[in-house]
Amino acid sequence: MQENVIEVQDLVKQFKVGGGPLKPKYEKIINGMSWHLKKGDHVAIIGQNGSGKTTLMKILAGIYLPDEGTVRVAGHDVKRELDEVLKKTSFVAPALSFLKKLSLRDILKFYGYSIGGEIEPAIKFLDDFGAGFMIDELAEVLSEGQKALLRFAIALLKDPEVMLIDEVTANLDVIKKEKLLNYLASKKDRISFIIIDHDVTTVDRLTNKLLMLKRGGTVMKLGDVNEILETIPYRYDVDVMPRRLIKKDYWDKYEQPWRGIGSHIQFICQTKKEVSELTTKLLDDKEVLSFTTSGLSIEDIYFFYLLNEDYASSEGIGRIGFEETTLF
Amino acid sequence: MVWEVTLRNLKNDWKYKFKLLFNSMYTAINLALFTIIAETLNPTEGALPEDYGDDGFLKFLFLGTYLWALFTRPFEDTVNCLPEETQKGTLGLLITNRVTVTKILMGRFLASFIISTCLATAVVMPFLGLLGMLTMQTLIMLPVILLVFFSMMIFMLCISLWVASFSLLFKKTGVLANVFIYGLKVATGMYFPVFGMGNTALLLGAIPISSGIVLLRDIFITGVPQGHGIEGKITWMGWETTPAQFIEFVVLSQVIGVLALAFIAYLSIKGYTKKAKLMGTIETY
Repeated sequence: MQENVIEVQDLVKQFKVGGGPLKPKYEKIINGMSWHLKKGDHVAIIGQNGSGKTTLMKILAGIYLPDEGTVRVAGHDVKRELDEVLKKTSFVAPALSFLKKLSLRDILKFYGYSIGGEIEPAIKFLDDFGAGFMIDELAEVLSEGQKALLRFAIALLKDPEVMLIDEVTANLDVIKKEKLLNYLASKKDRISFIIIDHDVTTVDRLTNKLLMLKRGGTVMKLGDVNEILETIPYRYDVDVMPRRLIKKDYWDKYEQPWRGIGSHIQFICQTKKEVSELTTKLLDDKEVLSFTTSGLSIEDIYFFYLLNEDYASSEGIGRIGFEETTLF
Repeated sequence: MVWEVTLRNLKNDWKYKFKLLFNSMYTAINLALFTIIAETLNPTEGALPEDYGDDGFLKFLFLGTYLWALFTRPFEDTVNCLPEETQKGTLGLLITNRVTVTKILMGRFLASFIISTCLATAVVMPFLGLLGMLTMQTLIMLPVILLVFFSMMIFMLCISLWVASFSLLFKKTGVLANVFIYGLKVATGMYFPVFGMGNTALLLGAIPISSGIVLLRDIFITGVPQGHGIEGKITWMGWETTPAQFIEFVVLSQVIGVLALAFIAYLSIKGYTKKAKLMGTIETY
């Protein structure tokens, strides 16, 4: 039987959100979540704000402890064998920082010592990404992109079995993003990636599973990316910027499913022909200031499922007005 | 790993040279103020051992200032350590890379202690020499001085860890830290001779930092430990005002005090870290 790299069973996590010291008020951020990931699989966690993505990541990384339930990472219980979990798990997030008055070499040496790893591979990593010449510079001179690379360099010191990454390519330019994705993808045989990312390219390149969370911290769906994509009839979206705020039923005349996102209107289409017909009409519409077309994003997929599961009686993905879009 | 954390902090602190300069100035100003106090006030007759001599009160205040200059900054830095690491965004990276809260705090204390010792010693030593407190007898007693000094440092480390652990659960503990350190300075005789207080002295003097300071003052000022207390006033539990009795008292207070506080600090950090991880407050300020 294939070994599980992540096992989450009946996980509950709650935080105090108010009330007094005698009568504290708690809110469950994760409420009875169960899922597992087999070795060799990689998962992207997606969900709206308040669905517990970051909290779940921090539990897997050993920063928070579960209130109830069990969580095992790389075969070890995060409550009872935290040090073993930390030896095998790296956590990368834009919020993680380093002392700005230390050089990159000092920072790598320090973390190399803390986890018992050699720093040469990390220096080579920085070299490959064009940041090697800064090895003796202070961290305070690093750009946001270079800081992101340093976080990965530190994470890779451990030679981890599991990498937990919040926004993989945040702050990286297009070339470095591409290079990093290639680099991480080349490690997929040895490292299981658990990522929070809505970038469809990143999800596609690094993962083969999607874990969709609902607000309130339960699992909406965990499945294979391709299988999930196959269940969605839509492939493209057309994002329209109107000249002014007009009555929402105005957009019904295009007879194409749509939803409002702030001041934008987003149409979704199943085929290129539908895109072509729609954009031809939009070009002649005086109420349209501009529009862009693109492939369906991970957010769109998530939204599709959210609507279909939470709003069974709704009209489907189309004709979702401004009120409902506050869900995002 | 604690030494690696210490080095990390030393390297970082060394980059803030103005802060180091102001810390040295603070010690120098304290010395100047205490000189004025010693010149204008006199302690109660018999409160200080006779062997302290005419300028005994000035020497008494100087040594108190010096010793507390060594311990105050490390205490404050340690208590503020977790909130600062969190604000800088460094705490998450540390704890996910096997650097425990205990190691973070110990490394912070030791780095600050090394810096404080270097700075305060550089500022104070010339004055100790001028006041005749650096003699051959001081050199002979150096092993005792270092031993007591080490014990006091461990005690302050433990107390710093203990108070710092509160910041895992309760935010904005800066005022608590100030109250705590000020109270400790008063209680341990920075400003007045503890053993001039009758039976209360046995309670205050039993604090390791307090008995240690008294012994170090004796050695620096007179070259040997003194018998402490005011004849006829201290009657508790067969207390006698002999040097031998006092040394026994110092050893007991150091051993029991340090061990007891180390145990409390350990339990406190373990318990509060677990609770902070459950409450989600470990990296939130």
